[in-house]
Amino acid sequence: MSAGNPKRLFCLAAALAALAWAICAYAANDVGSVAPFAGQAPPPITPRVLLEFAPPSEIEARDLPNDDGSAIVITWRTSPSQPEGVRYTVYYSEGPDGPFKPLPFDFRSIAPDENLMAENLQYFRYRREHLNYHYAIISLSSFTESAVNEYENAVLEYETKKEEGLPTGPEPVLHEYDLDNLYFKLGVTTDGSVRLFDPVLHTQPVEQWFDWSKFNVLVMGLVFVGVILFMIETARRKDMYIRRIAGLDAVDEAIGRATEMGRPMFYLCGLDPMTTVSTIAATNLLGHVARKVANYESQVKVPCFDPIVMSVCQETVREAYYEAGRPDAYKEDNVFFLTNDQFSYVAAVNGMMVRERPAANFFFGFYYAESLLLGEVGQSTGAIQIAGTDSNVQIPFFITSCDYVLIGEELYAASAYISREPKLLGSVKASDMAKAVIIVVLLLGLVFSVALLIAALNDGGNALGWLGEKMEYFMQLFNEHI
Amino acid sequence: MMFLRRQLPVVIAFVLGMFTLIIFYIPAAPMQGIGDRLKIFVTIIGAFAMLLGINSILGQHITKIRKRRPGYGYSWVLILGFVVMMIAWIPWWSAPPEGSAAYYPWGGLENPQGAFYWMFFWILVPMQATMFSILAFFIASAAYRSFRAKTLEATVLLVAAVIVMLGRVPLGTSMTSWLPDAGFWSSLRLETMTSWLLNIPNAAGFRGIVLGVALGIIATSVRIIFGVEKTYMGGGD
Repeated sequence: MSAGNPKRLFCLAAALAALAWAICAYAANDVGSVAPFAGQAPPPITPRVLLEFAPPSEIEARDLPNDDGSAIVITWRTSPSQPEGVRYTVYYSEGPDGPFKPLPFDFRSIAPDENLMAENLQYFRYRREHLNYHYAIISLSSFTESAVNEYENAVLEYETKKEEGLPTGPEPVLHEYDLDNLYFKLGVTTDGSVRLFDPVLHTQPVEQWFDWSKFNVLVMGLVFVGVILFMIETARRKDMYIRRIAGLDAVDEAIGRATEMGRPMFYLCGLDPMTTVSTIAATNLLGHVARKVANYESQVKVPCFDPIVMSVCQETVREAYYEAGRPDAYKEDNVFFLTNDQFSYVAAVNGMMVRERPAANFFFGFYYAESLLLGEVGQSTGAIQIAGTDSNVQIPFFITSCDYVLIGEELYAASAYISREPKLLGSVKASDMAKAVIIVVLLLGLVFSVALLIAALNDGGNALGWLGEKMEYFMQLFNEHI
Repeated sequence: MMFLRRQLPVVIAFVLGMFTLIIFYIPAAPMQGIGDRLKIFVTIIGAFAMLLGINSILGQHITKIRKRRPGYGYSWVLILGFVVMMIAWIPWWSAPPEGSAAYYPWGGLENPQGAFYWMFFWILVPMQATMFSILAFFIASAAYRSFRAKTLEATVLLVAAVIVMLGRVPLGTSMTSWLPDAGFWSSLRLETMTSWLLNIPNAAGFRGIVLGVALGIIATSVRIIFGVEKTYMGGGD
């Protein structure tokens, strides 16, 4: 093309412009642009994948069982269509005739393999057919919360604009949902498009006064408490054997060593507050340790992470000294608060370890990342170290850095082991009996799994009939609780 | 007096323990509301107990300074830090601008220009990070001590640890990447062995401990609720 032919250039440009206009107009029409529907909303375009989706059946709304009456649940039988990328969703309306809108709070749409009724034993009974049913829980209290949040944001924006002198519009008003008149529709969604199904759903939530999903826990708990009380009573009349715990035998040795060396001992109760059982167990053990320390006329220092734990420890140690007949030897300053910041606490305790060179360190209670920092520094000072924690992830760190470790439940048994009080030993024996029951349950689970597997290879889906269904329920229950 | 020291705490522990246990089974809002209020009480008691804690730590360090014990200079640092941080946080150094309740020119973490914010993020946080980072060196020294293959158990531990460490890093997994993805030989790939070690023997041991802990917690709670164990109140059982 030469530059000396402007007429041809102009014609070509005009032709290209006309072609571009035609393409744009067609494309705009295809995606539902406002251009061809001047002054009115375009009709919604529903993708073919949603139009061809077979509607789910048995769509129902009912009260969510075992809750405080603030939610409902929508259930439906799964659709035979399962195209990729299509998920179930729920829309709501403030009247039976609509319009139906997306829920005003975060609601995660549900994939075809999610929210199966058979997998949620808190709200539904286990039945094999429930593997084909889905559920969606709608919290009605979330409507009120979202309205309040929206109102507060609008007020903030309104006031900011007002301060800056910008046009504000009408003053925001809190939208109050009538929770008794909310209506719902189940739908399917993909890529921002949605198709809703009939019927219109409506139900009233009911407040429950007993959570039946926890009935099995209640029964087992009552049985266990009964066994504990029975064993405590039995222990008063009969001697009970308790296996040797090396870590607790070493407590005497550690106290004796500290006395001989004339150095103090450090006793730490962990980083959890007084409301956790491991901290209570640690303070129980402190009572026994402090009594022996008082008898040996040695010195135990208790740096605390929590002020409430500090108060309890002060009282425990004071009483122990009184019981040992050495109230004069008790020093309140030996049980003190440091800080409730994790690494500041570690820095302070490690500093004291390095400066004071304690002969023994006791780490009982619940620990986090600081366990190894404490254990390694204590180890470097040459102290004999005894730890006891129910924090699974910290047990290996204590094992590598301490001389003796009480693993998990041994911490709870420590008080009984040291005092040899029959009533405490009885509860430890009851725990052992419960463990025997758990072993039987584990073996049952193993037998059921193998039986179901073998039967499924022969019978397919209906392995072992109703008995298989019960076994599956047992396995599901077991999986949920372990 | 004996009643206040001995019987009353046991009665309170029994009543509140049973009540907390019962409301676990009652989802109705009124009962849960009472449970939530009880939790607020714990927070309130904790806030007041903090005063005891502050009294304890300041009392210790003031005594140390007064008696000129070795290292009393550090006690000055502690008291100074305590006072400066507290004053920097106080919001009434300057009244907040009208309509902005959460703007404190000096204090609080809300104000990135404030002194408290600066000290918190540029002094306290780096010091905490320093303490945490020391953990890397302690892990190395602890691993060295634990993995010395002196006994059969230590050798098994060493082999398992090496497999897991290699199986968790790309360099390690690339060492056996030439093995097939499926079939018998795939089970010898480092990442497969690592997954097996973590998901089977490790998880089995882990669950055993968890079950024991759960039973221990129930047994200890029952002992405390029924007043069988009273060592936490001080004194004998």
